[in-house]
Amino acid sequence: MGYHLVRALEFLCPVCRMADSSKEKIIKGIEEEFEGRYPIRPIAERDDKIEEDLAKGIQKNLELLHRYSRPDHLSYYEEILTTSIRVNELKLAKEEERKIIGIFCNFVPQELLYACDSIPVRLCAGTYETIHPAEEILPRDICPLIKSSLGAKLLGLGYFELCDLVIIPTTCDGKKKLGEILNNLVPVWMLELPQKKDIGSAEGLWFDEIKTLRERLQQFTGNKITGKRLRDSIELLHKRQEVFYRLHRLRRHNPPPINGRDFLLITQTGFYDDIDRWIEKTEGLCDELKHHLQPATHSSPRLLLTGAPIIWPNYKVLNIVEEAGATIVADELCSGTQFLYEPVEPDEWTDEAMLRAIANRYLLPSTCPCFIESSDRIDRLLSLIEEFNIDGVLYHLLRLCQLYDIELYRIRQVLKDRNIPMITIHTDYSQEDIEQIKTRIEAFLEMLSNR
Amino acid sequence: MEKAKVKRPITLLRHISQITFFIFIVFGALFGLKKQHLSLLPFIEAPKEYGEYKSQLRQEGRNIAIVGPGYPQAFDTFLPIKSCRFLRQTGTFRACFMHFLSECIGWATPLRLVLPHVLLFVILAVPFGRLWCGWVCPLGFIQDTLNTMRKTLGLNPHSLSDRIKKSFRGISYGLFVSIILLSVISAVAAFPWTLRKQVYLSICQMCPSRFIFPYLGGWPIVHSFIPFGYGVFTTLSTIFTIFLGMSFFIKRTWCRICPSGLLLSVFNRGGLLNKEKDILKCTRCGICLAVCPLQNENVYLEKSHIKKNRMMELKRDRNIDHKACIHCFRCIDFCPEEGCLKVKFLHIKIFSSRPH
Ligand code: SF4
Ligand code: SF4
Ligand code: SF4
Repeated sequence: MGYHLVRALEFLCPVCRMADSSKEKIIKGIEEEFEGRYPIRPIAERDDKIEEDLAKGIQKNLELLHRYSRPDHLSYYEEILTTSIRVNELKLAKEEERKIIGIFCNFVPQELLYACDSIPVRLCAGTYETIHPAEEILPRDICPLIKSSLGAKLLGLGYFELCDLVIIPTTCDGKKKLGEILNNLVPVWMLELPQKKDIGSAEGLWFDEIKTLRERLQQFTGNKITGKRLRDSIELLHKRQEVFYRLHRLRRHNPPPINGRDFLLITQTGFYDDIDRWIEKTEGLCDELKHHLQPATHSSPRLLLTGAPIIWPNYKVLNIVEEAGATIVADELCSGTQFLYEPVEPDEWTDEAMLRAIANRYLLPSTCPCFIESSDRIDRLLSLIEEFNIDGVLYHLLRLCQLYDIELYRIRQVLKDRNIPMITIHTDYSQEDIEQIKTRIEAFLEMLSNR
Repeated sequence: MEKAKVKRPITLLRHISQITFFIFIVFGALFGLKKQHLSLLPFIEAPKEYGEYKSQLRQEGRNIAIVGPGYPQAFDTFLPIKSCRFLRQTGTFRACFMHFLSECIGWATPLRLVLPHVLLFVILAVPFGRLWCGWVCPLGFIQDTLNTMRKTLGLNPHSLSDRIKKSFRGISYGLFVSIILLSVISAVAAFPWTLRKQVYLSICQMCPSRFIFPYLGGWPIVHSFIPFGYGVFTTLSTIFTIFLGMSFFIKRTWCRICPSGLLLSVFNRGGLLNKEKDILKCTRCGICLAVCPLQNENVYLEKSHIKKNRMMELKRDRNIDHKACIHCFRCIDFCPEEGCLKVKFLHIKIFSSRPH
């Protein structure tokens, strides 16, 4: 009764209505993105050799990591990433009619996915072995991440195979076109991302897109996203962000209690793992690390990692750098810090405010180069450099990822002005150029220590 | 291990302050704060010489006791906020500063009586600017309470589009100027007395407080629509009260046009209390803008392409004060970046944003 009275008042109030007329856009019809009239028939055989190679690569990474004395808690993350525990769990969840939803990039609001009782899994892949099968369909001259991800689906590997749905934001060209191809294998929704990242688009196009996504998710999963559920999931993810932030800050210490590879390992376990367990374990890890902080030394150079995503098990460059004696103490990777760094802080717990906060969080603070401007990314780098006492910057570039490549010049200039050394590594997922990279990195570290 | 921490300490403090001041300002008399008990307090007395206005009333043969020193409020002080004069039975302060201005102009009160009050106003306003609005003003508190009620009901908030926001600001200037003009008219003998009488103390006649505080203070007043002038003002006051009621949906709607607030806002940029943003640390997440009750773009846009020309400056800490800012510090309370937004008093950092 009271509610309806107030609704009526709201309706009668001219200013309220004028104020809202601009943003009250009709939610677009819920329809499939792709017509699919000319389907692709993918051919890929499951190949045991590929899986063997994959396992070998992973084993090699672990061996390198195990050379160091590491916190006990890390074994949990390794287990999730290397064994099929989580895959089996997800299979069970699927039997309980929960939907598994695969996502790409950092723009799909996980709050909404958790609120409709589905389980998000981030699918961006870092496996070299799956690239080859994908090249049957995709051109060779395309970024390895796209090829690797498609290949994983073609081969029916792990998490990909479990997904009932994949949501892809229209970030770079590769992601944009990946959807249509993937749609032949699994239902795909595209999330239209504005190219201009400002408050206007966040309140207009993007906000509508998020609203539409909510409607679609409700229909798809059959679970209504009520205010309470949304609030619960926001609070859950906020907790994850808080724990993550704690871990992130611990790396300010000199020497950092954890190296860059382990840190990425932890973050990327968060791509797949059960969120409650991840929070609990990471909390434990933070406590452990806090107790083992060592007194300050000045031995190893502190590096900041930026550029194209590095995803498990493609830790090639990291292995080389950290084996050579440097430590990565901070990163600006979308597959690393940026994945969990920003919180959702709604002004109040009403529907609109929560959705707005979610929309803002996924769009506005993003440092992804797919937007027209790179100032935010540069600001972020500079503030990380200051906060983490960085000695040098490692700019990782995936071959054929143009966006990061184009921003390189500007960033190099900015860093040069501030007298911060930077090394650029142009590479892909293959192992062929290891020696070459090693020589360059060793020279770079040498230069750092002579400064 | 970690002790339970308050999530939004500043906002909590602010609410406590608002409630305390509301009770103090509106119901002070209930705690024995009557003028007769406190007559010895060395407060600046309100002017008691009414100049020409008084003799006009005398000529009409009217009783002037009502405008005489018969105010029962404890302090003859005019706060820079809406502490209404119609709180006769229970209030603590004489009236708001706008009332004082309008009254003094209308009476052509000698400057020597006006100056102490202006001085007091400046002393109160320069250090804090519109902090008075966010932390003290009872009318502001009423609007916040209305908004809290909406929140509790789970209704969606509304926000004003830029266009409407601008026109509200326009109204506020217009209102202020017309109040001063009307006060001048009421003071100038060349105008006919009927007109002067009707526009006398126009601020009070159109203030939304007129529909609230008299009833809270137990001294209801008559809303008169006759003659014409009174009718216009009463209509305006009704409209403004509706604006005030609209802060149920749109935060602090009345504050966007309040003349007292406008007067205080002069001291927002030039005052001693400032807010600064470290633009390198800001991730442009937009939280500060989303939580600001007055939708101040400044706090967000200071790092945005809209102000691109300013980006060329090399200064890292940018002043983000804005005319409309009521210093509620919600932006600082919510900003997740450590040390990104700072509050400074006399350029000394008081507190800054921190992660939660
Ligand atoms: S602007 Fe609002 S808070 Fe400030 S004096 Fe006016 S009514 Fe009070
Ligand atoms: S809340 Fe803080 S980090 Fe976010 S945009 Fe505002 S000032 Fe920047
Ligand atoms: S800018 Fe900040 S302090 Fe000022 S009104 Fe907005 S939220 Fe409050």
